[in-house]
Amino acid sequence: MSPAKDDAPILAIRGANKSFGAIHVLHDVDFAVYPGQVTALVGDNGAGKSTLVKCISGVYSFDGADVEFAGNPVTISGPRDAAHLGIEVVYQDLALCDNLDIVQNMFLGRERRTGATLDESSMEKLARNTLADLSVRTVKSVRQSVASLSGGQRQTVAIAKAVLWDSKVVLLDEPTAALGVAQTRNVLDLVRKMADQGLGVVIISHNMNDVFEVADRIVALYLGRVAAEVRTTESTRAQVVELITSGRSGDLGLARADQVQI
Amino acid sequence: MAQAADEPPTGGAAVARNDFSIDSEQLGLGASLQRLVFRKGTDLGAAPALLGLISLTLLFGLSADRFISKGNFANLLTQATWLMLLAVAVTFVLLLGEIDLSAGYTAGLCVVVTAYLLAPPHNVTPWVAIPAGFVVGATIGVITGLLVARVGIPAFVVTLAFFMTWQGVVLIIAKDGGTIPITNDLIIAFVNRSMRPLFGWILLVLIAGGYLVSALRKAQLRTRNGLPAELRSLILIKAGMLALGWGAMTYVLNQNRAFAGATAPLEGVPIAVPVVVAIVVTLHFLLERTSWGRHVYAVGGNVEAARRAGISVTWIKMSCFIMCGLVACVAGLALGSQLNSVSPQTGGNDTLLRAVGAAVIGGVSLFGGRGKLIYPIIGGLVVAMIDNGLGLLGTVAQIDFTASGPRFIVQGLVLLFAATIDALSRKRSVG
Repeated sequence: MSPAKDDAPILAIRGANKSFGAIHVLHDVDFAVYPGQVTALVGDNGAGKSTLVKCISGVYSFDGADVEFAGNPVTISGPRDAAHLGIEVVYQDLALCDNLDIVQNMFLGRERRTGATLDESSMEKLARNTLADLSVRTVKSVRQSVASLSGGQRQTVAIAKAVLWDSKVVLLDEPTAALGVAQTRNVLDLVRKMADQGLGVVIISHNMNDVFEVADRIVALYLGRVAAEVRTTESTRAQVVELITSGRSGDLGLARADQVQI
Repeated sequence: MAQAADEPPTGGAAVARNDFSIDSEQLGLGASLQRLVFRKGTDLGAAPALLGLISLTLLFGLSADRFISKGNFANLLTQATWLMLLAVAVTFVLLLGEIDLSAGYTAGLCVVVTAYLLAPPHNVTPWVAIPAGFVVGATIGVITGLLVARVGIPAFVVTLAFFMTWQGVVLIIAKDGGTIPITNDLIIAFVNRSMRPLFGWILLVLIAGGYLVSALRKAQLRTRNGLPAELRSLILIKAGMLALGWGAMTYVLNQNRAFAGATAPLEGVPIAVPVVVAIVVTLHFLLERTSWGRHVYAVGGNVEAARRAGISVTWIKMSCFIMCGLVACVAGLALGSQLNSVSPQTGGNDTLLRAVGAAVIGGVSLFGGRGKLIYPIIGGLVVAMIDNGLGLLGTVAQIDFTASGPRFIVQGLVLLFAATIDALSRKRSVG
């Protein structure tokens, strides 16, 4: 990646802390999302990835943090605030209703209406256009019930749902965890495509292949701290794995454990 | 993109492979009809119940003498009224994936309150007494909804408790063992009287015309938006079939069905029919065409997804219980009308279980999120027809089908059969 691509971050979080009772989950975390780039958030189980994502999406609130969105200081105190800013999350369980069709799922909770009745035609058109923009070519009908879709198609619908709302930042929690090879390929293409369209994309993943294939920069969390933020092109898998498992790798990462004051 | 792994290969030259082929391609009449009959997906809907309705008609028609007669047809419709209405009421709760065991006594309590106010010494005007019943129904819905949605007690337990509670209240109002006669003309007329033949024909025009206009408007809107629409010819065929079927029903009901030698003719579509139609059409509209309805299905399908989509799950659940209470009140009025009185048994015994059975037999899923409002109507007809037909069947192979024992056994087995279909079709759609 050329440095010129680093515009101002669309979302910048500085000094984020979060505790649950006595457990300090996030320690002074700095995290930035750049438009047009894919940022991978990696870390072992319990490193704080999910907590960070849930704080950004407004499900939890930070105990203290400076949050800037598009250069303006903001506070996110609920999922609606996040959605209002243009931050969308694709959860690992996808949060789709099996009994509803694709259009109904994509517009769930934000249906378009004419008067008191639902405006089905305009929703159907918009849903189809959004899927087409993402080069989704698998679904036969947007009026298909979600129950009839394959795992990859469901992931696609969940992603399209996040993109639909003129969003600026999309966070994906383990989008390929449950998918086969061909389906993973499709989803990664989709992630790249979103970034190419100018979105700031964050992908949480345990899979180094996925991370190195699709991400522009990698943020490694270790026990609630940012161990390092590296460019994908300037780092190796071994380095990143070391950052995840021990918090440091060569010159990179946190100070040695014996030098840390607890 | 490589899609081979995503989709099973689709066979047949007729299946287009383009993207969104189903959405973008305008089908011919033949293909549309084909798609109508062989719909894709695992939701069988009301098809098993419709099939049951047809086979029951044949079965009883061949074996019971008076089953297919003008008089019995009208009888069947009026006997089914309370059942269909209570099944519609329960459907709102079933759509959430919850259950309401107290709906029977909710219906009973509503009509007992109304009858109590109407009867001497109170002699309250029906314009107050009937709305009072609806207030009772709505209040019960609010209380149940709050306890289920806000406090988080399982609906099974809450409504089981209220099943006992409302029964007790009914007993106190109706004074153990006592009955309150209903003399109010309006309530009596609900199930027992028929419309003049002319109004039956007007109803036919309203129903067929209403369907035609709404279907054509929908198609016009889709065409204007550049989406493929239902063929005009197919809409006309459907509307024609509806008019033909409903017209035949109206024609039969408009014949005089009084016994020979009766002083006055007995003819016309029962008043209950337009009442049920109006209620079902209105509620169907709410469920299918408004955000509220969409959110009801969403909560029934995946509560967590609904919550994350910003839907107020508490409100949706509460509103469904309120809707159940209100419709149960109409069912209660039908019960009171049919018996010309109310007693502590009104809404008790197997009332509720038959209503839930009717909804499930019609195709409403016990697991939530699946079912349309026409399903409990069809299911209600099936259950009422079993009752009515067995009653006319008399003794066959030394089994007296007019007795309660064999009737309960048959109804139980039919319900079990319907629940099996529901569970199997759900398993297929999940797995």
